[in-house]
Formats: sequence, C-alpha cells, structure tokens
Amino acid sequence: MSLKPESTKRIKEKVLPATKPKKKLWKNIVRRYDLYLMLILPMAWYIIFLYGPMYGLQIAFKDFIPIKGYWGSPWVGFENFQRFFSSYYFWRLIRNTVTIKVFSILFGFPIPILLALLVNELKNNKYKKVLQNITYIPHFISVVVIVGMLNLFLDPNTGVVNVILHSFGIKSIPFMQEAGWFKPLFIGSNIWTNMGWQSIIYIAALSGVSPELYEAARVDGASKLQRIWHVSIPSIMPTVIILLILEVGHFMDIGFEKILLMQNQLNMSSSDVIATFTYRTGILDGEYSYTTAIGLFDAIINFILLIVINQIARKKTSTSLW
Amino acid sequence: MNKTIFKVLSPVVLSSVLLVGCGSSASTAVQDPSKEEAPSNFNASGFPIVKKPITMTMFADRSAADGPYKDMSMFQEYAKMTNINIKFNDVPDASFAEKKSLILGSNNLPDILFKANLTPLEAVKYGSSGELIPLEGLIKKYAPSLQGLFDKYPEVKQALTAPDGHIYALSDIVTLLSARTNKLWLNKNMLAGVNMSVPTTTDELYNYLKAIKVKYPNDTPLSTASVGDLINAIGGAWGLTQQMGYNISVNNDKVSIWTTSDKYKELLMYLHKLYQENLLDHQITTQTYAQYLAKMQSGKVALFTNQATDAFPQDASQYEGIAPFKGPEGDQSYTAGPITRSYGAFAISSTNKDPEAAIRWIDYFYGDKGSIFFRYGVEGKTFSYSSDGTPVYADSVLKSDLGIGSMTPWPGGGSPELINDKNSTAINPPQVQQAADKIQPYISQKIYAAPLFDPTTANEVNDLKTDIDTYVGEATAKFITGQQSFSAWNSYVSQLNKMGIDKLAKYYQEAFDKQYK
Repeated sequence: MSLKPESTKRIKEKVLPATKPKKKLWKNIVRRYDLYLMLILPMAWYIIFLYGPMYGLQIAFKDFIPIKGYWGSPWVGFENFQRFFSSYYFWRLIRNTVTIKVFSILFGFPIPILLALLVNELKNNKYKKVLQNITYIPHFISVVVIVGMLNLFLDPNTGVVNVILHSFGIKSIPFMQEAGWFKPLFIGSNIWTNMGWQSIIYIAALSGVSPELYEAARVDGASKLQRIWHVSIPSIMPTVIILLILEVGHFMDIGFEKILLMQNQLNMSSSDVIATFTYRTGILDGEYSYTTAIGLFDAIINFILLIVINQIARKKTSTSLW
Repeated sequence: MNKTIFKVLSPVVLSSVLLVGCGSSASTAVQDPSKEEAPSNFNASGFPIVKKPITMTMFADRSAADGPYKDMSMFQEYAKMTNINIKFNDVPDASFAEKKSLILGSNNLPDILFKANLTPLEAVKYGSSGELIPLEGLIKKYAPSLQGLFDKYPEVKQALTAPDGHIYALSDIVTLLSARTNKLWLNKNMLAGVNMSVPTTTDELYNYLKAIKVKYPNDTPLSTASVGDLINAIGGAWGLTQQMGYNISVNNDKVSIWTTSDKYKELLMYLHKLYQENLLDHQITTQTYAQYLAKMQSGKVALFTNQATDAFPQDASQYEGIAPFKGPEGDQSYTAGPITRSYGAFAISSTNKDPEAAIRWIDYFYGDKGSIFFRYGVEGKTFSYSSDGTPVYADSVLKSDLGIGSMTPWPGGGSPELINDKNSTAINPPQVQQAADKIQPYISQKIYAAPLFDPTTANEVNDLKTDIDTYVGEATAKFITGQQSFSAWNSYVSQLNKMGIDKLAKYYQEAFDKQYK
C-alpha cells in the first residue's frame, strides 16, 4: 500500500506519449520471452484448426462444386439462406432447437447446483462419497448405450416401465414413438447422465468457502437454510454465472448424437433440430453450400446470445467473461 | 491480458485467412476420354487387359453380408487375369452414405466407384461438373457385353443416359424378373394351425390375420422391414405401385404422384385398421433391418415380405410365396424394380489414368461368362456345375463364416453386374421362382426407372423432395399408427399442394416425355 495520493499518478499518466502501451508490450515480450514461447503452440492450434478452416465459410454464399474448389465455385449471394428461411421445416427446426435448449437450461442447470449444496451439507463422509459416486457414474456410459437402455426399458410390450404400468391397469405407452414424450425423455435422461459430473465443479467451489463464514453465521443464529442462502450460494455465484454464460453461448448446439439416435419417423415433429437436419441434408445428401449457410446462421445466433447474456451478467452482477 | 493477446493475434489471423487455400480451379467441361488414343500398354480385347501391371484405387460399399474386399478370392483371381491391381477402400454400409458424400465433396477421388449407390442427382451433379467421366464412348469402343445389353434392352440405355446425352454411372442389369420383386411369404404351419385357405383379397387377409392373432396371441401376424415395404406389399390392391423410382403411376403416358390420391387414403385406412387391432407389427416404424432379419428367422411371423429365402434358410420350407391381394375395387397389381434395379453401381472418376482399362475391367461382369465368374468365382475352386448345368457353390464357401460374401461382393445387392436366370440359382431356388411366378401376372408391362434430370432441374426436384418426402413419410406413419386421424386428410393434401407436389409431378412428366416417350 502506497501512501502517495492517487491524483499525482494520474497527472503523470496524462503526460505520457500514446505509443507507450505497445512499446510496453514488446518490452514485456522480450523480457518474458519464455512465457510467450509457451503461447506459440496453443496459438498455432487456434490458427490452423479454428481460424484457418473459416475461409470455407464462403461456400454459404456460393453454389459449391467440389472440382472447382472453394474459390472457383460461382457466387449465389443469399440464395442458400433464403432457401432455408422459406423451407417448410424452418419454423419447426427453430422451435424444437430453442424449446429443447430452454427446457434443458431451465431444468438441467439448477439441479447440479442443488446436488452440490446437498453434498456439501452432508456430514457423514462415507455417505457423501457414495452419493457422489452414484450420481456421476452415469456420465461414463456412452450415449449409444443410454439410448439403448431407453429403448429397452420403455418398450411398449416388454419394457420394465410399461410392465409396471400394466400391473396398475394403465395401458402401455409407446414412449419412444410418441412426439409428446420425446422432449421429457431426452432432457430427463440428460439430467440423469450429467448432474453428478456437473456438480463436481460446484462442490469444488464450495469446499473453498472459508469455514469462518459458517461459524460467524452460526454465532449470529442463522438456521441451516439461511446459512445455505446467505453463505454457500453467494460464494459459488461467480462460478454459476460463468458456467451459465458458457451454456448459453452454446445455445443452438444440443447433444446432437443422442437426438439422432432417438429419432424416428414418429417423433420427428418434436425431435428434428437444426443439427440433425444439417447432418441429413449436408453429410448424407452432400448439399454442402446449403448446410454451411444453416451452420453459419446457427453460429451467428450463438454469438449474439453470448454477447447479450454477457452484457446482462456484467450489468447485473460483477462477474462476466469480459 | 485478453486485449493484448487479441492485438497480437489479429494480424496473424487475418493474414492466415488470406493466405490459406487459393484453391485451383480446374476446367469443368465434360471430356470424353474415348476420343483419346489408348495407351500402348492397353489390350483392346482378351486378357490380360493391360500388358504391364497397373494399380487402381476403388471406393466401395461393403454390406453386412460381405467380408473385406481384399480377401475375396474372386477379386484376387481377377487381378491375375487382368494385370490390374485394385487398392480397395471398402466402407461398411452403416457409414457409407456419409463417406461417399465426403469423398465426392472433397474432390479426393478414387479411380473407380464400385457398388457406390450413386443417386441420379449425384451422378448428374458430379458428372456434369467433371468429377465423373462420361462412359458412353468407352462402352461403344471397348465394352462388347454392355453394348450388347444396350442393343438388346433399349430401356437400359434409356434409363442410364442423362439429359445431356452422357452416361455417368452404370446400374446392375437384372433381366431375371424374380430378382426385382419382394415376395409375400406365408407361414404354412400357421396356415394349417388356423385351418383356413390362403387369403386372396384384402378382406380375406384381414380375417386371416385376425384368426392368427386369436390362435397365436404372442406372435406377429404381419410384418415388413419398413413402412415403405408395407405400402409396396399391400398398395397394389389399390392400384398403387412404384414407377420411376417414386410414388408414381403412369397411365397413357400421364404421370401422377399418388400420395395425395383417395386410393392412398383408403390404403392407409386399411393399414390403420390392421395396426389398431394389433395385426400389424407395431415396431414397423422404428425397427432396423437387423431386427427384422431376426424376426424372419424366428418363425413367429405369419406373413412378411423379402426378396428371397436367403434370409431365413434354416426354415425356408415352412413358407410359401403367395399372389398379391385383390383390393375392394378389384385392383390387383404389384411393385417391381426396373431392369436397371440399382442405379449408380459403378462410375469412373476423372482422376483415373486408364479409363479404357477400367471399362474393360467392369464389362466382363456384364457378360454371360464374366457374370458367373463374378458371382461364383473359379470353377473347381469355389463352385462346380451340377448335372443340369447350373453353377453350385462349393461347400467350403457356404460353410465359411461369412458364406458367399467372403469371396464375392454381390450379397447385399447393388453391384455392377448382370443378373439373369443362368447365374442366380443362389438367390433364385425353385421355391423363390414359384413365388415370383405367382406375382408375375400382376406386374406392370413397362417399369420405368428413376429419371435423370439436368443439373438445374435436379436441384429443384431435390429441394422439393427434401421437404415433401419427409412430410409424406411422417404423415404416413402417423396415419397408420393413428396418431393422426383421417379427419386431417384434407389438410394433409392441401399441405402437400402448398409444398409444390404439382410442380414435382410436372418435372417428372417432363422427364418422362424426354426419356421414355
């Protein structure tokens, strides 16, 4: 802590020439060259694998003919976008993509946090460990197996669930073949798979909370719930906000493999999302230009949402990505 | 810190974006390689095809019934005969469509595409842009077997020729009608169990299936591999069969798409009735072919469809093929594939340095002798002729793990080959031929193959079909399962009209007038 008044510092800075920061940076680089050398690899990776391929995005505005290459294909302007916006399935794709994601965040996001708070309150260490293990084991089951399990348990004739329903005299429900059931099943099984895994980061954040805070709260006469509300939750709030921002940044991409595996003719109306549509028309039918346009549209929406949510977070709370 | 990184990065990123891939733009005129002088290494007739050995790369589909191509004794033998060594890239069926799109889209082409299942759209698109070469000149010059078939069956050449006059891809050529239909197989044990006669009309079929359900409550009365197969199996009773590779009927040279017709509605109502009363397999909308295969082999299905008995050889004798059903209005017809059954089975890419050798290499499989070699391999090693002159596989082939698919790629279908009565005893034993004979009278005299559109029209057609086929597929499944009531039929029809089904019919009509009139 310097005892010098702030004002003198400020005056000094004003006098400095404008080129200073740049010079400072180069100076820094030279002085700390070893650290910057370590940066080269990740930077190269970004440039080669993430920025490099971006020049292919131009085919969204072209009629891509492979033999002519990216540059030689003829420009068509916004034709591909228009085709997508005027496609019969456009609104259905948007609706499904958005609703699945909104409900995923609505139900899927708070549950790991609650689980972490629960685990944090448990005093019995053995029990705590068992609970944690049980909840995060599903994360290691492959998507294909999970969907296989869903098909098996929910089979209209032989599935466990329908056998139980039957014994109560309820008619069996073809869960996997009904559009109405698709979203609850998809989101529910996602929560079951991921909640334990996602709660780990919150548990880690909670373990960093100083015990003195809890002590002080207890001395002040706070109940258990009040302690959670006033100590635990505020201390993991920054983590929660950052993760929420990241989650929203991926707004338009959902667990595509799982949807593809669960999809069939009968639940298509509620399971067809932008990602599966892109896969079908792009990879299977080879319409690269058209689906690049769709992908670009997707990315732009993600980008806008990310910026918006970050602004909101910065205004309302003190945490944000930038 | 973030800001500084960004400052450092931005010029680098910009320059890298500008530097990457100024791709080469090749000329895209269609070039006919037959106009060029054949290289001195090439023999225009007889074996070997080339004097000094050459190597070609092949991209191919490997169906579930086939082993790896490189281990097939037929190909090994053929390499010795021709002096052409093939580097195989045979991709399993499940991921084949993806791989094919990527290979064609990345312009990273193999020399030949084999069993490639190219769609008419792909063939025209990549043919007219110059990735695939036109074959008609080469065929005329170097492919006597193919040329002979073209002369004998003009409809073959018709079906393969694109609007610009070029042939970009070959199909298999199936002169054996039995190989172009799905047969209806009836379980004789169950028939005897309910003590009824073979159903001949749709009403009798309904009563028969009901009787089966009562007698065998745990078995499946009726099943097919997919909804599409079901429509093809029963639809003929309402006069609905496939023409031009689509849901089209052709009357007096007039093309109409029947998915909006009242007949189709009646058919769906009938199927819905079967579904509702548990007479139709409820897994029909979701099952995979592997699951269906297991069902056929279980002996627990009273009636189902399959091309031949090869899928259930263990108990083939308890099934008999039956004739198509007669509908309520007296219609009785049945769907069959065209003589060019599987389009896009073979193509040669523009990177191939020896196109004339490649066309001679494939032409052999379209001849009488070569097609037997392709399907049966070497006499004395993998097959022998029985007393009546038909080829029979050696036991060592049939008893090997993969059976016939271990030595030749034809199982699974879609190979570029000639299929006739002389070389098909394996898929056409007497039992199957009898089943085919029952179906034969109800097959349309003329079966038109899927047409080839010019590139611009092909794109239009594809746009229309992407939406329309998805919609029809979903709606059909929903009508059958009852998730959608038939009161919604009119809105289904008007929706299809909105999507431009009339325009699609018009394109097909134009293609028909151009190609088949």
